[in-house]
Amino acid sequence: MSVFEYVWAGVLAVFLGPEAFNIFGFGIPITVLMIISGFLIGIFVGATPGLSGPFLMAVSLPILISVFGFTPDALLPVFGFLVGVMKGSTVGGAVPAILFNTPGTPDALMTTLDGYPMTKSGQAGKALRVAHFASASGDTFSDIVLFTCAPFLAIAVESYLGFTEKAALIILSLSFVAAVVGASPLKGLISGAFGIFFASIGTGEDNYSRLSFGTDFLANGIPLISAVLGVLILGEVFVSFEEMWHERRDANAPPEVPQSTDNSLSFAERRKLLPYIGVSAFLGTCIGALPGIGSTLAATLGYATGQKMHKGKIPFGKGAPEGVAATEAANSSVSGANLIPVLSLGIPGNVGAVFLILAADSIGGFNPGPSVFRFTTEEVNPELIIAFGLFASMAFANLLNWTIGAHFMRMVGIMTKVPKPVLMPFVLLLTLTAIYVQETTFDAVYFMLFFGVIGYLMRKLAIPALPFVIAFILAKTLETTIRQAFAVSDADPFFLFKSPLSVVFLALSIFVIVFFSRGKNND
Amino acid sequence: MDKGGGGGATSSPPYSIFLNRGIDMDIFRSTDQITALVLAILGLMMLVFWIPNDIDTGLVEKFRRQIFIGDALIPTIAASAILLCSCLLFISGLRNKTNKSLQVNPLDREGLGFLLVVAAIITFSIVVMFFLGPLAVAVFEDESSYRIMRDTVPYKYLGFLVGGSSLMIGLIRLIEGSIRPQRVALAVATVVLLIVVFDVPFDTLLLPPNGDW
Repeated sequence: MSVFEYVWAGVLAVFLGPEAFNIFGFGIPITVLMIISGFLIGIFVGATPGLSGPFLMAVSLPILISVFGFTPDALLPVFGFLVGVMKGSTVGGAVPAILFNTPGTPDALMTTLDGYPMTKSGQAGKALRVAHFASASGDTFSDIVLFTCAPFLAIAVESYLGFTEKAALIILSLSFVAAVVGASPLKGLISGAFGIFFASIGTGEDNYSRLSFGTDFLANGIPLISAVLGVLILGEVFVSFEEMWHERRDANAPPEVPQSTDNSLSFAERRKLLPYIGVSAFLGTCIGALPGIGSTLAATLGYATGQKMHKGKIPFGKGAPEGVAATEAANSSVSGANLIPVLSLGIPGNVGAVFLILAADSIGGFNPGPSVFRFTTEEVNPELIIAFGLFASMAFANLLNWTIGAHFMRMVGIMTKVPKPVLMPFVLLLTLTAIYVQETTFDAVYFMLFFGVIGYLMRKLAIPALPFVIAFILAKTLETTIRQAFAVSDADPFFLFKSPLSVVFLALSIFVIVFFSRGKNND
Repeated sequence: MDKGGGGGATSSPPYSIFLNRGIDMDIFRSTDQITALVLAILGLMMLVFWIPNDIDTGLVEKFRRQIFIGDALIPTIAASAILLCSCLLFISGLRNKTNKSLQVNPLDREGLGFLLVVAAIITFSIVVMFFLGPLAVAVFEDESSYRIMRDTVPYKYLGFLVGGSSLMIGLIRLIEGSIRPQRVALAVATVVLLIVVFDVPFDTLLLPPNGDW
């Protein structure tokens, strides 16, 4: 198959795949239906303070797998739903930030700075339109970069990197994530080291399951989904329980402000926003392509850069549409670029990407990494078709965003009225149910609760959770690659230092730790 | 889109509670150092006790005149990293006059007490969830077992409904300080919603605790 045929096969797999149902003789493909469902539900979840896209991805995964099974045919519908959620929740996060000064997601915090003042001055509708226009533009730009960069990067990695270099690259990625996430690179490293250690339990090549205390409970290892959901979701839930318990006060409803009936965003107004959107989208895409740096930093940088560019009469922070545009374009452009390290290197860079990897890992038949982009001409590479199907799904989700996203954004303001003291216990029960449904044993629930406590302690002690999760996911690949590199080096103890590229990666690992340690100490 | 799981968003800094209570900022510094010390001890115990006693192979293994990496290597590197970084964190805490990394309220007696109450509610709910169905079968179905009845209404839902509701109601009561009838109804309704979403449409999915029996 030629390159074009692979791309076309991916598109057809989405739009001419198995039908969900017929309407007047027209079949609705199941993947398209799942993208639409994920997008719409994602907007609602993103607009609900306390919930987030990754949470929805986590709890919906067992249901999706039950519906679609463990065959490669399940991959595109499941990916389609998850991609829809990613896009929808990014757009939805801006709604409560603009309407109620309550960011639906942490990265929408900067949106409140200008979005809420616009609402207070009666321009809520315009602010939502600006946020949507910027978010959809940034997201589209980021996706285009992903579609063009990921295959080339993957081919370069597969062509030039051997086992030694791949092992060193994983070490560099882990070091980078540990260094940039959180306030202290040392804590990031500790978190990552714990991730590797816990992932080692019950695994290994010996007949005896290592670090299992000889128990059956630990002999099969720790379920990946229990560790990930425990640390990421339950840890956050426990902290929010405590925060609500401390505060225990009724939220005062903001006074109603009469809104302007002119909610339109003219072509001239859109053109004025384009420079801010362009710069922020570029910044967000660059940040998103690096593992571990989240959209919150992108939003902050986008806002700060926009502030420097701004010469309008309404200053930033007082209700400038440019402020909303700069923030939303930056945080939305992270999501597509975040998949570059996943698809080209097999390294998840953020929480959303973690769940795409979990889905691929649970279903099977698709191993995100450089091997996906093998353009074999003699025989068909099904993984490559899935990859282009994923790209087609993202493009379709963007189309949805441009066409119906703005209408749904204006409908979901009501989600802020969901009482958090009810919502967070529900999140706990839902997570517990989802993990049980997938693993069908309480052992998985116990593991998840244990890791929930660890996640809680990490948040309380300002130890970042993301390095733990990414290290847990990559530990097996790292160990296998190191074993292979050692074997091909004829048991050379300095096998990691034999290749110049590997030495560069390892030196960079040390450099990023030292650089960010010094930088953060000086802040 | 790095949203940290169920990341809740707050409009004020999370540590403002402590600042408002006038607590000395030195507590942050000392908490970081205590954390480093505990983690260092943990790393040391892993290295000295757990890894040598619970892994059968060494760092490298020789088999048929060939040398392979043993199962102990990766855990040893991880535990060494924990030990080393914890020691460095402790030393950096000594050198820094103020520590800006710890921006959440650290563990205190009140917080730990709260966590224990949450743990008690979760434990109680799981026990109810796990045993109520089998107990009901033992009482009302003389010649049957839960394993046989676990796909029969009402037994298949009993543990999940009561255990899940008690989890929701217990936590809402703890967070809000009281419980209103509307909240009880809402809690039960959400558990029913979960049953409708997870169980009713799918024959292959098992609600807790049915997979364990």
